[in-house]
Amino acid sequence: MKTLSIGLLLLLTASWAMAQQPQENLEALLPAENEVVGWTRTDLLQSYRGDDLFMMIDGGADIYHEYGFVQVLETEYVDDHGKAIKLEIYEMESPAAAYGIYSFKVGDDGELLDIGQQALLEDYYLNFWKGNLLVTVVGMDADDAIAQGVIDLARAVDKRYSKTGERAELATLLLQEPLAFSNPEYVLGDIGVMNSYIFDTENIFHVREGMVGVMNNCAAFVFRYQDEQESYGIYEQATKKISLSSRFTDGVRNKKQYSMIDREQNFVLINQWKHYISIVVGQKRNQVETLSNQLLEKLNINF
Amino acid sequence: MSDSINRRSFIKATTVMGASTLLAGSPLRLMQDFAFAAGSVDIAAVKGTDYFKNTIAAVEILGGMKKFVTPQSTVGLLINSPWDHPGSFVTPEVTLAAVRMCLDAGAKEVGVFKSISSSYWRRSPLSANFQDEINSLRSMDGDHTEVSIPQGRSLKDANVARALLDCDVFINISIAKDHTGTQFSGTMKNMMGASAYSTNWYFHHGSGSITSYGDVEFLSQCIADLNLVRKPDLCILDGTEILKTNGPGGPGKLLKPQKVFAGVDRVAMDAYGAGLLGLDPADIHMIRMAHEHGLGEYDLSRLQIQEATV
Repeated sequence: MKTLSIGLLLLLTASWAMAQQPQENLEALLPAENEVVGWTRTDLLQSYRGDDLFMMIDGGADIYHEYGFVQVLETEYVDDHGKAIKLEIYEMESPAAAYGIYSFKVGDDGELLDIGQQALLEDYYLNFWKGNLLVTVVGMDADDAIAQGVIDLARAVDKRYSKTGERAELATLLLQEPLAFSNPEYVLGDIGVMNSYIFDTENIFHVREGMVGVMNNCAAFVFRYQDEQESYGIYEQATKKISLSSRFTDGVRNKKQYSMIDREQNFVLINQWKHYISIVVGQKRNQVETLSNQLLEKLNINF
Repeated sequence: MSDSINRRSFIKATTVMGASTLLAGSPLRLMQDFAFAAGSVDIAAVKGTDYFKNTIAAVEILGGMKKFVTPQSTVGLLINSPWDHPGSFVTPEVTLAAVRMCLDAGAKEVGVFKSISSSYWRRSPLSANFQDEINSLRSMDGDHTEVSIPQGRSLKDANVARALLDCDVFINISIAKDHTGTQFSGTMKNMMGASAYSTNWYFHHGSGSITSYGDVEFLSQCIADLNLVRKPDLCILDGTEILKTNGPGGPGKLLKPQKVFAGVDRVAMDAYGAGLLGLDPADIHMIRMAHEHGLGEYDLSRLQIQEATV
């Protein structure tokens, strides 16, 4: 038994280590000389793996690690006028992680493009995800020629990479109608959640997987846990902390449901149900309650 | 009050000068119209499309660089320059204006605590006209010394740039921007650029947190404590084109307030800068904690803020 346990532990450790190992040759994905007309690659070529990401983006590295960062390659392209575009290719642990970091990075508006599995062009930069990869292309100035260069470089990388993958099940569920989340963000930890709403300065919901988005002008959060026991325990601790917080008033507890008012006078409704904790935040109480019930129904049907 | 209204009107009526016209002589001579009585101004905020001019005007409102830099003094600049996505670094126009003003005030030497790469200067075409000034900057990077912080609550000692302690005049030049971990980065967060990697590592992990932002309160307290080491003689905050999302590095949504701020109260500067991002300073831990240390005021209603347009 002991031998079996040790063996299992070694296997799990090896599996985890394998998951952290780069699987892709990112340099092979870089557009070649003259492949994108008007843009030439410079000598800048840097790669970072694991904790070294800190050297590239300092404190910004943590969110990538939260999603499962493996490696990144960055380079730069310039035109005849000295204008520059930066290209960053990130390998993540899985397609779910790649979709997750993509959803975190993109904003609320921009132009959806047919590149990769999903791509958004925003002002001067473009993000797309495909398979295990997140690709970020950044124009260092804002003009039409650079915007076109950004798109062309993204397409060139897309063409060189054929693998695809699936989003996480929770993301797929909450992106389906009815009540599809708009401005969705698939989160794998508290940094992702705090980016949208601050329930507390600590990770009181111990988020390891969740979805954040908007439904009918209300903010919605769904966090998934290992089992009902875990979700209930976290719900109890979190709502207890919230009840003592100056951020919220008028707390009302009703077994597996807790409601309160936040500083902006939004009505906040927290529900614990099976593996999930769901939270809806909105201006109108009736609307929040209705949406909350509909969301629970959606989770129930698909449980 | 009527005095400042008259001055504001005067600024708006002034013909806008291109930055190139300043190259012919001292910016201070050409900007003398902006020399106001500065005694009671806590923050000078200047808006305009010429960020070089905005910077000079903001410092002039406080009394001019000569109020902070005396002839033959050594000046240390802490500039948030290492990032490269738009909105994440202090725009070179702001830095160049600060350097130029220091030299015009008679500084013997102007140095930078963190080395500045050549790619930073290339981000502004104005840099081509200031090569002498750029080449004159001394790198003060790499030489750190241990300091004790007896009043620190989470940080009791730190490894900081020796020049931070040795220079006659310390000017903190930062950018107001979003930060994924601390919600906001500005003047006080910029102080981490003057401390060694080992100290910064402690900020992120010293409380036992595995991730860099697992304990934002501890991190924020360390930042507030670090700001006990030395008060900047002058703070300049870049609020021209700033990251609204995905800070500190971006890319992210950009806001373009086109403002440059100057002041001596770093808590106030950050409180005002946080407002650009729609944040309540009371929600930013490091601002509140620095206030508790007595480092400055974050209630903007208690501050004298002079705004101008160039």
